[in-house]
Amino acid sequence: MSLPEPPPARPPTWGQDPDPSPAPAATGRWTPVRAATCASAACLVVLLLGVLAGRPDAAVLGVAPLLLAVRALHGRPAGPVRARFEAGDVDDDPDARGGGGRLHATLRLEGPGRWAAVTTTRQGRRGTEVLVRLADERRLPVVARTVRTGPQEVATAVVQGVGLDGASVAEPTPPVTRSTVVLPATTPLLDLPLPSRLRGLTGPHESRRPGEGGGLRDVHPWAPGDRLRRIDWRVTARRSPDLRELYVRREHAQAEAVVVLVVDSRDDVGPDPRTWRGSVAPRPQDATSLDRARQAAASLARAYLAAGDRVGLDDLGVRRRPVPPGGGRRQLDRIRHALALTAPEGEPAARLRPPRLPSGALVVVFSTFLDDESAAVAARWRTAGHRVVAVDVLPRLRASGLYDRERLALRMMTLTREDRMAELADQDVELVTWRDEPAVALRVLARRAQRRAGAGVAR
Amino acid sequence: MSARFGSEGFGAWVLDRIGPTARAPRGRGEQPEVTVRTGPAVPAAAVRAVLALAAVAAALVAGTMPGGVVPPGVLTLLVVVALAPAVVPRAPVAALLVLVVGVRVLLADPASPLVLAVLVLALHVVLRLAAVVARVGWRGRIEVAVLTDDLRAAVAVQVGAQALALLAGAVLGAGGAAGTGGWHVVGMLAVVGLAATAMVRPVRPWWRGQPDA
Repeated sequence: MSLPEPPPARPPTWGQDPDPSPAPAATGRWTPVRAATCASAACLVVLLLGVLAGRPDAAVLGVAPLLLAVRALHGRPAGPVRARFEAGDVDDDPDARGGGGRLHATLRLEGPGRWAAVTTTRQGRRGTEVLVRLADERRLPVVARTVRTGPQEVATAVVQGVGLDGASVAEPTPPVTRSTVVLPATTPLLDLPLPSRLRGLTGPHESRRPGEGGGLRDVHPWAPGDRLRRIDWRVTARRSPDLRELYVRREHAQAEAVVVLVVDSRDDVGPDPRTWRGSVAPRPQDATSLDRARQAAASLARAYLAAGDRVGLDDLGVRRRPVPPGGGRRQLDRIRHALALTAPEGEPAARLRPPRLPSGALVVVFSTFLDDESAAVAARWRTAGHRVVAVDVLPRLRASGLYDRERLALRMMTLTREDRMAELADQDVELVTWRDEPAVALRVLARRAQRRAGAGVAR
Repeated sequence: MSARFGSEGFGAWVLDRIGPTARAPRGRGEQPEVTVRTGPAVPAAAVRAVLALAAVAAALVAGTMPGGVVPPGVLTLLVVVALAPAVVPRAPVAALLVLVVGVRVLLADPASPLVLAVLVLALHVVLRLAAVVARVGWRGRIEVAVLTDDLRAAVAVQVGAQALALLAGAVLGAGGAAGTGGWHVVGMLAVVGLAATAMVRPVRPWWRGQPDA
């Protein structure tokens, strides 16, 4: 019976690469190539046999390669070959115009060899293998194609110097790696849901409190504190022709919404369930759940901030200081950078209580809901009175190529997850799936809350 | 079979043991994940094909030389040996091809100048391309600058070798295999000279690396 694969001994590391080392070098030892040496020896043997047998036609067969081999033997290079990555230049990539999903770096080679064999890999998968002319120094643009965001490996390269005519080779350099952080892109959104309570006396939204700047709230008899310019003389003339009482027009106040985006970084799963163990990285053209969460959170942050609201960011998987709610363009940059650095970090500690949020904030939870924790946290926030929107960022799964046992496990997981999300809906948590048309789903949620003036959740 | 290899059968049993990467290979026509931008380059498979053609040409020309008919089985073996450098260039099979062709020329009648020129050129091409493709895999790419590197010296040496081949043909045509004592001496001097040049200790031994490294 086929045994299931053992669990990984440590968390997946394909998404977290250390910073590139300065310039690791090999020891500088060059060794003759066995095949070339044997070929030269064979040519010498044929020459000797031809001379001894009195056959000059046989003797001259290998003279040309033999002469070049002797020349290559004496021109054998010495010294180490160095390889290091530098920042890439987008101008080196003619295909980069108008197209995203490309990570650039420049591989710089230095060494005494004539050629260099460059082998690249990415996240453990084979990349490109090229044999290039070295000539002491060479700069090679390296391009990686991926739709992934966050901490990303551009490439890992191993370089081996090759001597004249391929007669000698240097020791391969230690692997050099280039990593970068890819900021999440944003997608335009339509109307957005608002929290149950708006805050402050300024902002883009009309609140239910009396104030200034909003629409007409009511017409009320003048009271001390009302400004004289608020007096509505037409209503006053109609209701109190003798001017015994003055009437003022009262308006709704303007207010801003506080939105807290909560990303569940504990899961980073792709559409292929076979990669969920973490031992194999998802394919570069497959956006994982965390990529979708980053894109969704960045899109919402951009839309809310553009409307003038305050947006904060928290992480369910890692306990670190959250990005407090704020507004403006720089807040969007802060949130995008924080989202890009959000990644699974080992075994997450169990939370005793959900993170604290500003009162009346709209909470948007981005999660795969593959376990109970994120759903439980969302339900507790809803119980505490927050309006909670749960965004399902699990990509559409690919079941093709799965074994029967894996298909069965996937089916069981899907059923459990559907039950969990149905329970969330019962607890008045609004669900949005970030797949086909998330903007439409968010607009539906937004219109559901616009039944009364002054925003808020319909109760 | 099901009891031994599980419900998915032998294929799944093997793939489980190879590793998870074996189940998700890169699709055909899919661009590689990482590309290195170089100068004009050719696929290594094309260079291997040229290498195979040159080697097979050398083997067939040597095998069909007059003087002693080569049985079809041996000729097939010759072609297999000729294909080996293109398949496993890191193994010393190109040396085997040189030895086989050399022995065949020794056993055959004296070669005509045209045949000799073809053999001299083909063996040189085989050894040069084998040294190149040995450094890169089947899916790799080879810069054209690598193939043309030091081409002037290679052409000069090849022209000299062709001149020597013409001279050898003339010597054989004039005096036959026997009674050519003059070139014997020259040949032995060449062997000794090349061996001594190869074995002389270099000024800076390569096995010690760079002094300041």
